[in-house]
Amino acid sequence: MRSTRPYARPTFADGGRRLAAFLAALAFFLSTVEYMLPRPVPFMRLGLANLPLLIAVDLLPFGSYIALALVKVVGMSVLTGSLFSYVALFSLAGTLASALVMRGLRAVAGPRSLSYVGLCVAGAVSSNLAQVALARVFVFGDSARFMAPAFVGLGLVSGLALGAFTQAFASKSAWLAGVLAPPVVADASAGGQA
Amino acid sequence: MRRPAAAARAERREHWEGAFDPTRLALTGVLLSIVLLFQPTLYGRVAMLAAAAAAAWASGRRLSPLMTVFVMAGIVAANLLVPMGRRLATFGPLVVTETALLTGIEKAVTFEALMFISKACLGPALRLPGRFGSFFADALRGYDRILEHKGSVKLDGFMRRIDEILISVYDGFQSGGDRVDTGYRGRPAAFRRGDPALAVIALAAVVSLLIR
Amino acid sequence: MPLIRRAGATRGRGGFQVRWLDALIVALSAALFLYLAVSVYGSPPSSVLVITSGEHEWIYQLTQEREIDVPGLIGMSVIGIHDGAAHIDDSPCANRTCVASQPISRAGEWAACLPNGVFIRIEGEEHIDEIDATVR
Repeated sequence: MRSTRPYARPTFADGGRRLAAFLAALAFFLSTVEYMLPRPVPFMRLGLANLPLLIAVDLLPFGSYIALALVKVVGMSVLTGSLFSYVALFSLAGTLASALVMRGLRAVAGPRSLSYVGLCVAGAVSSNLAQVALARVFVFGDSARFMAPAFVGLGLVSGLALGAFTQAFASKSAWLAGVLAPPVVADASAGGQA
Repeated sequence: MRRPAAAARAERREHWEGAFDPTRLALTGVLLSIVLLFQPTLYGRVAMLAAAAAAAWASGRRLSPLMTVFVMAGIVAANLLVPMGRRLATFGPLVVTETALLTGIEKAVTFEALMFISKACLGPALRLPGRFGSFFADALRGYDRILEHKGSVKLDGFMRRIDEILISVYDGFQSGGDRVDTGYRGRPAAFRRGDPALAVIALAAVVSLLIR
Repeated sequence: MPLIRRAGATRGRGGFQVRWLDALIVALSAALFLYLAVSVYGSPPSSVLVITSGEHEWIYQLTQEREIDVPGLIGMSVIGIHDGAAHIDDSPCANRTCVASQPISRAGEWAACLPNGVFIRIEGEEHIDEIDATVR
């Protein structure tokens, strides 16, 4: 059921740079929104700021996609004043891990066999695993292994929630339809970039 | 009671941002973070934590002492879970051991000291150099424009609200007509009255590495 | 057709079909969670090395290679942990029989340097009763 290239990303004159900057701005905004929301459990985060990255998997060329991931980490760290701390390091590792896993999955599976829900769960779980691995080295030592199951469980739950939210957003958003509308090459046989 | 505290914090923040050049402040922050990680003694790290906490308070950034204590206690407790070293005390199933306790304290102190250094030395006024810097400045500009349009975001109809904001901001952002000089200028800014203090702090931090 | 384009066409209907890879990823994540939970919380704690000298007691994991200096009645005993086993590497005592003893690694095993008053033993789940018996 693996279709070789069942979709094509849109092409941009500037390599998607402006769209990437805008998605980063959206990520900053969503992280401030999330900051205001109550949390059921201290470590339980929906990770709303990952929504732009998730959408970008199917939108941006690889260079702009990675730039978006990096700017999201640096920007959120500057805005919260944690850039020089371990928190920023964990965030960088987690974001890069999930960005690469999601992009890699999309490279082998098109939207017909893999939706944002699956992408997001895979991204969230790999992000949390990367963070536990770093936490073992820098903060918790051997005790980090006691946290690994909890982090994988939290990743699963928050990935499901954010994935479902993103799926709904992508199917309803008039903005996204507008971004895709003008220059999209939607021909399945046209192929696309990796 | 909350109002005066918030006003005092805003005043401190204004004073702090007036005293330091954002780039030189950030570079000092990088240096201090590196010095902290190479600090040979626990006492040195604790001293840096105290100084960084004071600086973060003076910078007028929002701090949460309760959260700090909670996080530090959590890191120490987690390190105690795997006993190592001389037994100091036993509380039920938890054995407090010397090496595990000291390791936990050192990691907790380092974690929070880095956080405070970051808070004190980084502000939204910082402009990063290079292509990445201008990309970052673009993203911040978009963020400001989204905030202008945000109005009230409620959970009810949240998704539609977000979509409306995106539509209203996106076109203006894409055309880029409002591009202002937000990028890094590449030449050093003029002398600020905080500069001597930064130099003294940087020197003191490096010298502290020699104290054993 | 692109995902979003197609999804846009179904706007308003709001239907969502679970794709097979979604199900696989969720199942794998759940399996990983269960595996980690059982292996971390379900297994007994691993054996540890316990060193006693006079009033003091030291606890170390056998998984970490290290050398430990333990002050005793007549001087420093050096206890080494190598390859998951503990051994008295050096001792200030005269006959040094303790240094000649075999490394210990399994719960319940012990070794001692009597002249220096340093006693080492492996503590683990299965042998707690036995250790209690020896202590009494």
